[in-house]
Amino acid sequence: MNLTALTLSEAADGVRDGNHSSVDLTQAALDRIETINPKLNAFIHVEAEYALKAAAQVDADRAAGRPLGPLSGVPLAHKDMYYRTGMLATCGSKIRNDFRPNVTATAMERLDSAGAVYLGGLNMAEFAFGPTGHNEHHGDCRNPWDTSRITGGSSSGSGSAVGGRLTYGALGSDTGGSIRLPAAFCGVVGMKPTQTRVSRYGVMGLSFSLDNVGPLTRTVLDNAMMLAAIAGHDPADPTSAAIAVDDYVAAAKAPSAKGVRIGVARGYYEEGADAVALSARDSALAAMIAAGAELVEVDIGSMAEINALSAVTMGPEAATIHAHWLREQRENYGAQMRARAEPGFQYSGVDYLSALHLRPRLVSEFCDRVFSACDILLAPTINVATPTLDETDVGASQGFEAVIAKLSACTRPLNYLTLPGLALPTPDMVVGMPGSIQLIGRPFAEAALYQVAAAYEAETAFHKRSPEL
Amino acid sequence: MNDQPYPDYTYDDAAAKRAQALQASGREVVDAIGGSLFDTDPAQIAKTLAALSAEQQS
Repeated sequence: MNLTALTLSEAADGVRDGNHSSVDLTQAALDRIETINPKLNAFIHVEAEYALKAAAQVDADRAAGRPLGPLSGVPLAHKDMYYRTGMLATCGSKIRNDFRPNVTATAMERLDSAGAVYLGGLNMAEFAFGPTGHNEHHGDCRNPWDTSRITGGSSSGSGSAVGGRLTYGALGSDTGGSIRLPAAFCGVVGMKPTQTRVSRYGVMGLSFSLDNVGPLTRTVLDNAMMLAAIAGHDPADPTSAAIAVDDYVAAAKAPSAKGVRIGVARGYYEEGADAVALSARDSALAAMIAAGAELVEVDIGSMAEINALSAVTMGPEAATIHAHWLREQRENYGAQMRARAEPGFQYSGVDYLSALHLRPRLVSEFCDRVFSACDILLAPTINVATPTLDETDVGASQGFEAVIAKLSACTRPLNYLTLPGLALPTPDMVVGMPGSIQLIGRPFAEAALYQVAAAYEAETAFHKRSPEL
Repeated sequence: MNDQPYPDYTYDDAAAKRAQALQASGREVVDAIGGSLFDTDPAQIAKTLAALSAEQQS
C-alpha cells in the first residue's frame, strides 16, 4: 500500500484502527521527501529524527491504550515561520537562516496535542512577502504539476509539499493571499480563516492587521480537521477571537449545497481575468449546480478602495517589523523584499490609522451588500493560467509591482475585509494545470464554507488526481 | 515626504515613487469616503466581527 497516497483523514483513521503505524506513515513521508524534494525544493529543513521519535510515541500511546488525538500520528510540515523552541525557523530568509526561537507557536502546540507529527520547515517567500514562490536565499520552490511553473506564494512549500504528496497537510500564512495562491496553483484546498480565528502567537508576523494562519490540504475534510485543531481563543494572543468555534469536521462530513445561494461575483473578479481562469470558474459553477446550489448574480463592483486601504495598512506594519534589519543589514534582504518593505516608511501615521479606522465600516458595508444577496460568494482564486518561474522572476525590476498585483488580485481584498476564503481546485484543468475558485463567507462562517465545499468536492473528485513526479 | 527615515539611510528612488503613489491613492479613498473618525472605538473591528458573526447564527 502506498501510504503517501492516503488523505490526512485516512492516514489518521489508519493509525487509530491499527492498519498502519505512525512510524510507517512518517517513514513513508520521509522516503518520499528524499526522492521527490530535490525536484520541488519544498522543504528548507527536514526533522527526520524528531519526527520518527514523535511517531514512535504515538504508536506507544496506542499500544498502551491511551487516547489518541484527531490527527493521531499523521506527519505534517509547515511554512518555516512557525516557531518551536530550539528548532530552526528560517522565515525563508538569509537574516534568520540560523534562527532557533525560544517559544513555541500556539498553533504548533495545538497540532501536537491533536497527535500530529512535525516533519520539518517548508519553503516560503522571504519573510512571507511574495506571491510567486521564488526565493533567492533558499532556492525557488517548484510546482508539482509542472516543475517549470510557479507554486504561488508566499506559502510556496506548503502548496508544493501537499500537492506533491510529501506531507498530508501544512500550515501556511495569508496576508494578501499567501495560503490561497499556492493552494490554487498547486491544486489543493487552502483556508484563510476569518481574521482573529486562529492564534498568531509564536508565528512570524508580516502585517499584524492582515496576517492569518490556516491550513493547506488535499481534501476539504482534511482541511476542516486541521483548522479544528488550531482555531479558537488563545490567551497568549489577545487579538484572537473569543467567539465559539463551530464543528468544522461535522460540517465537512455532512456535505450539502442544496438550496444554498451561491453568489457569482461579477465586476472586480472578472475584470482583467484571463479567459482560462473564467472558464475554470464556470466549470466550478456547473459543479455547484450539480451539487444542488442556487446561483445568483452579485455585482461586487470595484475593489479599488479596499485594495488602496489594504496597501496603506500593510506598508507601515511591514516596514515597522523590518525597520531595524533594513537599517543594519539591508544587503541581506532580497531585492524584491527590500523594494516592497521600504515604501512603508513613508506613509503618514494619519493615513495608516485612517485605513484601520475605516475598516469596520467597510467590512459591514461589504457584508450587508453581498450577503443580503447570497449565502456564500464564489470567485476565482487566480485570474491567470499558472505562469512559469522564468516568466515571473522579476525581482525588483521595472514593473514588478504589476506582476504581483495581477497574481494576487483575487485574494488581496479579503484580508482587509477580514473574511474567510476557502480555495478549492476546479474540476477542469487550465492548460494542464489546476484552476481554483474560492468560497467567501461572512466572518466566522468557516463551517458553512466547509459544508458546501465538501458537496462541491464530491461532484468534482479533483482531490483524487495526483501529479506525476 | 521624508528622504531619510533614519540617519544614513537613503531611500531607493523607485521605492519613494511607489510609496507616493500608494499613499496618494489611499488618501484619496479616505477623503472620498469622508465622515469623521472622531468617535472611532479602538476595538470596533472586533465588535463588528462579533456582531456579524451573531447575525449569521440568528
